[in-house]
Amino acid sequence: MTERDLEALQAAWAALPPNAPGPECTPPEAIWDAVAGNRSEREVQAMLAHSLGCADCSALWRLAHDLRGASERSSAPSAVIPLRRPAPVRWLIGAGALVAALLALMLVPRGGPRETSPVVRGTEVAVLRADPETASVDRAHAVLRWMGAPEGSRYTVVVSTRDLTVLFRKSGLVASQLELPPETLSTVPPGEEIVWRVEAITPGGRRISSGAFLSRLR
Amino acid sequence: MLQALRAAVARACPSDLASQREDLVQTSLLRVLEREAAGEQNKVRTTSYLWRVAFSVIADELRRRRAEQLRSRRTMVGEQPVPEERSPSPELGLGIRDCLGQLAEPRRMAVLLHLQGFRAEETAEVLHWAVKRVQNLTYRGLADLRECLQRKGLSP
Repeated sequence: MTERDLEALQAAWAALPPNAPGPECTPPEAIWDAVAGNRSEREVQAMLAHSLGCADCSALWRLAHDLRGASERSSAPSAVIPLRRPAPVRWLIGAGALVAALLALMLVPRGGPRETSPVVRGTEVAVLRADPETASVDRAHAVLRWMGAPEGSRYTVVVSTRDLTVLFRKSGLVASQLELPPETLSTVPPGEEIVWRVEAITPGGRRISSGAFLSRLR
Repeated sequence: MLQALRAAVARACPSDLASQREDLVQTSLLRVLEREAAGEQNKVRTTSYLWRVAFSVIADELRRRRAEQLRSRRTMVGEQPVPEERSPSPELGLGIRDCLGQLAEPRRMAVLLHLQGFRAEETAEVLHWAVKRVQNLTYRGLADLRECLQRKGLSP
């Protein structure tokens, strides 16, 4: 079989009309694990037997294969890093560092007013927390509040259902609260929980990501 | 972590989901955080795990869309069937499916993965077989497939 014939077969196989995915379809994680060689032969055999008649799963196998190759390339080291630098380079780096340290000592002003309060920057020190009152929210007037980021931060909030369908997303918020438009929650049954997450960008440019917060709808 | 997820989503996201890319990244992040909260923190921060999550989120979204599209297509009264965008004839694809079903199991698996774009080394990794065995089965399986297609009057 020539390369061209093979390409034609692959194209025809990939062009099979899609079918509606059903409950018997293989979960994506299982396909990913199989492609990574982390499933037994028997399991892979069952998955492939299903994908033979399911264009949807078949397409996911191709996507997983493509993506796995890309993930391996992205995590591969781009160049070989020598264990030791040549001696002259080390000497030059040392001399450069010494000069930089001397310059810094001469240029940094001594005395004068100093900031009295520390500025909180970075993910190491700031932790975003949900306002405990948001554990339960009124669906007609759902306000999400959080705290823990330095003053002047800007926020992005993503609100999802429990099955992680995104309901609402808002960026560029300056206040540490967000009122959800009531129609956003129209598909969520009463008593259900919504999942939300906040990402803050501090005035210093650091990103702080919160954990996933849960709020039950009243 | 966000960077790895962005890279994975950008690579996997088909063009019709491009406008949702950032939402898919956020959804992936939420899923990672949920699993971390569920006590899987030992493995969730590895790059390969993040790619796995991104793949899973995109796959779910693709399946949801596909189901929706097929449902709406069925419910539209009097609508003409939408022609498929790809050019290969559906007869050939269906013929391949039928012929693959007639192959012996090991040959079928080897050829199926070959048609999905897997190299012999990759198939060997997936099926835990020796590369030589994969090569043999693929070779014989493709010959069977060609013969079967010819019997049906189909050719690539």
